[in-house]
Parts: sequence; structure tokens; C-alpha cells
Amino acid sequence: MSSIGTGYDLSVTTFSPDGRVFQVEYATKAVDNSGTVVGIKCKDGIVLGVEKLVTSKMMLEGSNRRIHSVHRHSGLAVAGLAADGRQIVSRTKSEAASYEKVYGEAISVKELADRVASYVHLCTLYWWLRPFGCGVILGGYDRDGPQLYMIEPSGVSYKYFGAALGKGRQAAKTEIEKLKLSELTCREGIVEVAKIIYGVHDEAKDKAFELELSWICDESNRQHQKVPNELLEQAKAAAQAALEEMDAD
Amino acid sequence: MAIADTPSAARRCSSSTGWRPGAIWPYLDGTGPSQGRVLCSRAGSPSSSGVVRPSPAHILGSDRCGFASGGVAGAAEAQNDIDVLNPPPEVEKLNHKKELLVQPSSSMDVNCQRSLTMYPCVTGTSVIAFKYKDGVIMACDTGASYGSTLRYKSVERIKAVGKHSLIGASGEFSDFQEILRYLDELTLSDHMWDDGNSLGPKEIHSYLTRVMYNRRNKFDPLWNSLVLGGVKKGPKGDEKYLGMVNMIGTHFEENYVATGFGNHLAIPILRAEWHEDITFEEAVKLVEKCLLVLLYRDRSSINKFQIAKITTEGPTIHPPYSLKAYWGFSHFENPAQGAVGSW
Repeated sequence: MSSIGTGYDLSVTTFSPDGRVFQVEYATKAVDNSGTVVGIKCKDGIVLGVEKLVTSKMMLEGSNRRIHSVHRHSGLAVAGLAADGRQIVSRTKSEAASYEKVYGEAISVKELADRVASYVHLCTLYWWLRPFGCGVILGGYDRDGPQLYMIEPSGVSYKYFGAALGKGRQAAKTEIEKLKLSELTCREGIVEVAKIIYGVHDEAKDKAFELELSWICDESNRQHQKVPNELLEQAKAAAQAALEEMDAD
Repeated sequence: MAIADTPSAARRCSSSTGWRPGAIWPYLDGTGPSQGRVLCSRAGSPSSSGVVRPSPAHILGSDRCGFASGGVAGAAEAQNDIDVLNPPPEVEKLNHKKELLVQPSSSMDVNCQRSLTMYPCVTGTSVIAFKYKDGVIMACDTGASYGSTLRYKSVERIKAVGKHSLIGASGEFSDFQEILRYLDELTLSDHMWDDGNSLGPKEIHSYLTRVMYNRRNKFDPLWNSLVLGGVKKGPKGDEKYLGMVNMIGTHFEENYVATGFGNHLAIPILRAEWHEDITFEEAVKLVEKCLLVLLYRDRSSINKFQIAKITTEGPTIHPPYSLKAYWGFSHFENPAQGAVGSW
């Protein structure tokens, strides 16, 4: 458990004696308490999946989207405080649009990740702003192929083969490492991501959840879109079957 | 002999003897180009000690004035108190004033040079379109003229907008490209919402009307005549839509439209031969008839056409092709035959 930063954790502009900014670390805790978000880079594209915890039976299916398109070729999956996530998504959309307005071509995924990271980091520099309580996984497909970036509340952004955020991230990361991503197509990747999310979902603590899957691959014309319904159902069925198999042992 | 030792004094001199080049006024703090160097002399004082540089001695102290002789400097100081912020009227009158025909209404206008569209440069000619059984058919040639020269011969003047519409444009081609960019932004934000909604032809026509009319009101029009056609599911089933907007914002909806020369040559044909629920094959024949007339009679059209159609399945823009044209008109064969006095 991290130490309680008594006195050094009141403001994001205060360092602790051992060189940590506690407010940013507390922001990361907000991310760790949310539903699992998984992203993998397959050989022909990206698959993003979210374990969307359903808090009320009254909620309409398909509402409260956690995966957003930020441009034709990229999508953002959000973990953590949903309202903070909306702000990041909105900013990313406008960064992508303004780049295209100035340079006449679509923003590269690397550039977009840089901009998101700068924006998230910005809010860790001033005492009158609080850090974003959400981490995002940005997946995109541009001239350099499919790319996956993860941006944390501290503003760090790294490029990944596979990334996970939220409650089940440790278990999810272990599962992702078992996959041979360089040989996986997106069609197979969808099933794998579904299996991972169903696997890390804690039946005891959280009752219902909705699986949100999206992809950007050659099959989707390199455009970010929700996985088509038949494939989604197939993936869910396969994941359920795998879960039952595990339980049966 | 008047010694021109201050800017205002020099101006008074120059009105009688003519402005001599080389007079470089110092800046108010005494700095300025060629300070301390000898320049050519001012009007009326060729024999004075080089150039008298009247520095604002009263502001910074007389050590700035490098080479002025004492006496001259003394005289200079007295006449050097030009209040730049509130200049005396005689000084103001002598200054050149930039005359603006249209007074700028905001600070933005003063800062950024706004040029108003006076004339188009690269233009496309007619577009014709009409509703048919399954949707809307639109056609035009693929040429763009630079004045009277047919400069570009493979220009696509019909484009798809989203899933439900086609836009065709005549007039300034660069303005059409800008309009396409605006529409691209619209459709992108549709795509990102991803809630099953998409802009239909009626909405896009309305948007374009607003854009064109507002630009016209700023005396900076987008120099186009636009044709907007499409099909979208509405409360009464699949609804076909066809409309037109021009550069002054005039807009209307009709069963058949044409821009430019098409208005004069194609519309009469369409009035006579268009009917509701015309089939695709008949529609193509009708379109080709109109295009052929335009080819013969419009000097800025070329024999390379594109036909596009939009149905519930989506937009289709067919590749360009040519029509068989008949130039074997008897009078073309020996044009000078009946001419009197020909040799």
C-alpha cells in the first residue's frame, strides 16, 4: 500500500520528500476502481474492449458509451471518471479536426497521442486544476500501420502491443501476454478480448456488465467502428463458453 | 537659405523645392538607420556640415546628437517638440492618408487583409439532375476552364456526401473544394457520434443555403451553383430530394434542376420529357440527350461526362465516358461555300 502523504498530498503542485506527486497517484486510484478496459494490437488492426459495469437495471442498453471515435481512423476507450473522460474525448476530437484543417491530412496516431498526453499533463501543473481521474487507451490505424497508446492521469503516454486499465488490469495483462499478437487477426482478436473481459469480471462484487467492443482494421476499411452485431454475439457466446469450461474444472 | 533641420521644417521646404531622397528621420528615442553616418544633404543646405540629425535632445540628452554643430543643434531643439500623439493640424495634413472605400467595422478587418471575391478563376460548366424511379440521377462534364481556356479535363464535379446525398457544382472550382471540406467536417462529426443518425439531403441543402447566403452578405461569395440530390428514409418511406443553391443564396427544390447553360438548354428538354418514376435506362437516355445538346452548344463543355446516381443503397459515381457526337453538319464541310467575295 502506498504511504499516506500527510501534508504533501493537498495540492498537485506539491512534491513529497521522496519525489512523488500524491494527487496524481490518487487520480490513478480513481482509474483503478473502474471497469476493466483492454486494448490489443493485432497484425491487421486494433481491438478495444470495455467491461461496462451497469449500475442500474433502468439503464438503456447501448447508452453511456465508453469507447468513442475521435477521428475516422482512431478510437478512445476511457477508464475512470466518465465525465473527465468525456472532456478528454472532446479535446482529442478537436485536436484531430484542427490538425486536419491546417495540414490537409488526417492526424497521425502518434501525434494525436502526444496531444492527448500534453493535455492530460497540463492539468497536473496548476494548483487551480485537478488531474483527470481517467486513463485512456487510444487505438488508431494510419500510414504506419495499427498503433496502440495508453495515456495515464499523470500524462505519460506509451506505445503498447497490449494494454489494460481498471479493476482487472493485472489479470488482463497476464492473459494478453499469453496471446501471440503478431499472428492474431482482428476477427480472432475480438473473441480473445471478449474472453479476457468475461474472465476478469468479478461476479461477486459487480453484478451486471455490458461488453463494448470496437475495432479498426482492414476489414472495417481502416475506420474505427463498433464491432458488427453478429461478430459481437459470436464473441460473447465464445467467451461465455470458455468461462463455463473454466468453471467446470 | 532655410536650413531644413527638423522633419516638419524639411517638409515645409520640400513643398517648394521638391523632396530629396536620403532624408531619414530618426526614431523618437534617437535610434534609427544610419545614425552617425553622413548622408546626402537636405534641400536647401548642400553646404551644411553633412547631415544634421536632429535628435530629440529634450528627451534623451544632447549626447545622442553626434555631429551637429552647437548652433544648429540649438535651433533644432526648439522645433523638435512634435507631439506625435496629438500632432498639430498643419503637420497632419501633410501626411499621406490611406483612403478606405469600405470602413473597417472591426479590429479584425484592420489587421487581416480581407479580399472580396470579384471574379471566378477556374470554373466548371453545367450540372443537370433529376429524380427518377429509384432516386436521383446527376450528370456533368469533367472539364474546368481557366477563363476561355479549357485547362483541366479530368475534374470530378460531382461528389458523394455521407450515405444519402450527392453534390454537384458549377462555377469556381476552388470554392467547391472548400465547400467539400465544410461538408467533410459535418459528416465526420456525424460519424463520431455513432448514434445511428446521419445527415440527409434536405439537411445538407439547408446547411449549404445558410453558408452561401451568409457569404453573399459579406460580399465574399462562394462562386458556385450547387445541386444537392439524395434519398433518405422519412416518415413516408424513402423520400427523394433534389434542390439547388446558387452564389447569392437563392435556393429551391424541384424534380429536375440544371445550372449554368443547362438552365437554358437542358431544362426545356426536361420539361417536355421528364415524368414521374422514369426508369434508370430512360433516365440515362434523357441525360445523354441533354448532355449532347450542351456539348454542341456550350463552348466550355467537353466530350467527357460522368453520370452519378443515388439510391437507398448509396451513392454511385460512374467512371467518365464520351458520347458519340455528330459534326457532319453540311455547313461545316465547306463553310466558305456561300460566302460572297471569298477566294
